Amino acid sequence: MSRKQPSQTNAAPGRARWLVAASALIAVALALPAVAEPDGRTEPIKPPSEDHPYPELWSGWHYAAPETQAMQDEEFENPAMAWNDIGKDLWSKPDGEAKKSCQDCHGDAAKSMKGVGATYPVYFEPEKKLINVENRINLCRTKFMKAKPWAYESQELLAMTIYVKHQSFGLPVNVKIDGPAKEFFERGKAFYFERRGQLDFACANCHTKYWGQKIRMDTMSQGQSNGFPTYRSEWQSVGSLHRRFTACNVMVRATPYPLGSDEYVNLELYLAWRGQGLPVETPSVRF
Amino acid sequence: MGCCLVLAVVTVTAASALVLSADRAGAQEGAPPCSSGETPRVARYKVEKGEILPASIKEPLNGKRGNPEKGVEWMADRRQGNCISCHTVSRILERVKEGDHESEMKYGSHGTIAPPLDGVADRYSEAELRMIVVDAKQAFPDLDTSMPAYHRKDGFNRVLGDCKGLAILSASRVEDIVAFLKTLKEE
Repeated sequence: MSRKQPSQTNAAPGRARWLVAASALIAVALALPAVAEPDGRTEPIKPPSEDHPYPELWSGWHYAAPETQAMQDEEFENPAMAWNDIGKDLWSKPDGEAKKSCQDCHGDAAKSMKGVGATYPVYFEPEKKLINVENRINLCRTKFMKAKPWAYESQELLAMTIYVKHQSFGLPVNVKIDGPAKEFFERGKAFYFERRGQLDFACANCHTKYWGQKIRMDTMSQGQSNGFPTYRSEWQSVGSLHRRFTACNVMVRATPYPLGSDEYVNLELYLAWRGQGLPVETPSVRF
Repeated sequence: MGCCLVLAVVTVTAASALVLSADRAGAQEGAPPCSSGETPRVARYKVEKGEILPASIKEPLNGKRGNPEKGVEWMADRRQGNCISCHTVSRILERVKEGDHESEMKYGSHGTIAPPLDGVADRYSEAELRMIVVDAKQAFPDLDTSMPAYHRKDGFNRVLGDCKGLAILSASRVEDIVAFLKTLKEE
């Protein structure tokens, strides 16, 4: 009672204390960024629908060691940003018989590519199948630049894929799985639940049933793809999502599919949907 | 000490070979798991109905009982059973010496995704334990278990070339593990 209705004599010092506290709070508020939206890193994201396989979405960042998280978040510490810089240089460099660069058609990547990477893979009518960002880059090279396609996992293709996807940094993954994409989405889903290899594991055996739980030293992640291509300390390099698929397949002692294969592109769409709404983190850093 | 140095050198060489091959082929990830000769042929065995489980294997796979002490090693070894990546086993955890990194790496960090194995010998007979290690999918046909079959030859999908037709664990190593599991009694 007395605190709520201070006497006249106490009011002045009371207000002074309040002012001190308030200005301290304001100072703290100014020093900190605004309260962040959930981004799947420290706060989970709600799944896009009620029948989604995960009750909450977590980026692989959440399961990474603090040093790895810091390495990703510091622009000058993130080793994958070197590939982004290479991609930026390649963007404006003419190549092929047509002597064109990406920039000649697409202009400033920061504008033309903003949000694009977040929607891939997409259904591509001329080929009646899905294409991912890597495929799209090589289509541009062969069709419009009259240049040779870059090999999967080459430095150039990784660099350009990172550069293109980085233009969607922070934007939510937003793939389309209906219409003509549906058939390929279903194939990707079937792949995800199919057991393979001498260990007889499907992707689901680890990433659906046991995410967040310990498997010896490691915490099993949800297997989200929103940070790819990624720098992995195990690789001492950046690598594509398909290279990661290959590593998973070999880990369960299964014969991997070729990088860039339809099987992996279909799986890529299904995985993207499992992380629908997570902000793009390309290029991320993982163990 | 000498042995550890040799081991360390081998590990470093294997790691750089891994990186090199990955860079070269793009499609090659990790060392070929089955070409080292560790992965053995599959023994013949007879499956019979168990006491609780629908399947069990009464006779040791190689005709003789295993060595429980070796069983612990195969259960902890990441390239062998690696059982503790999913199961917690207090008797193996006890081998971790506090502050000793090597013993922590070898015997520590148990997984929590599968049932703890403490007291497992109270729950299943030796013949059932053998069946579970050999092929858990036969032992628990209704569970949709994730547990790999450690001593089965076929019925797999897209097995990596050099692993085809081979078991994850040899008959004698399965017996070593069964011998150790038999000692896990609480009652």
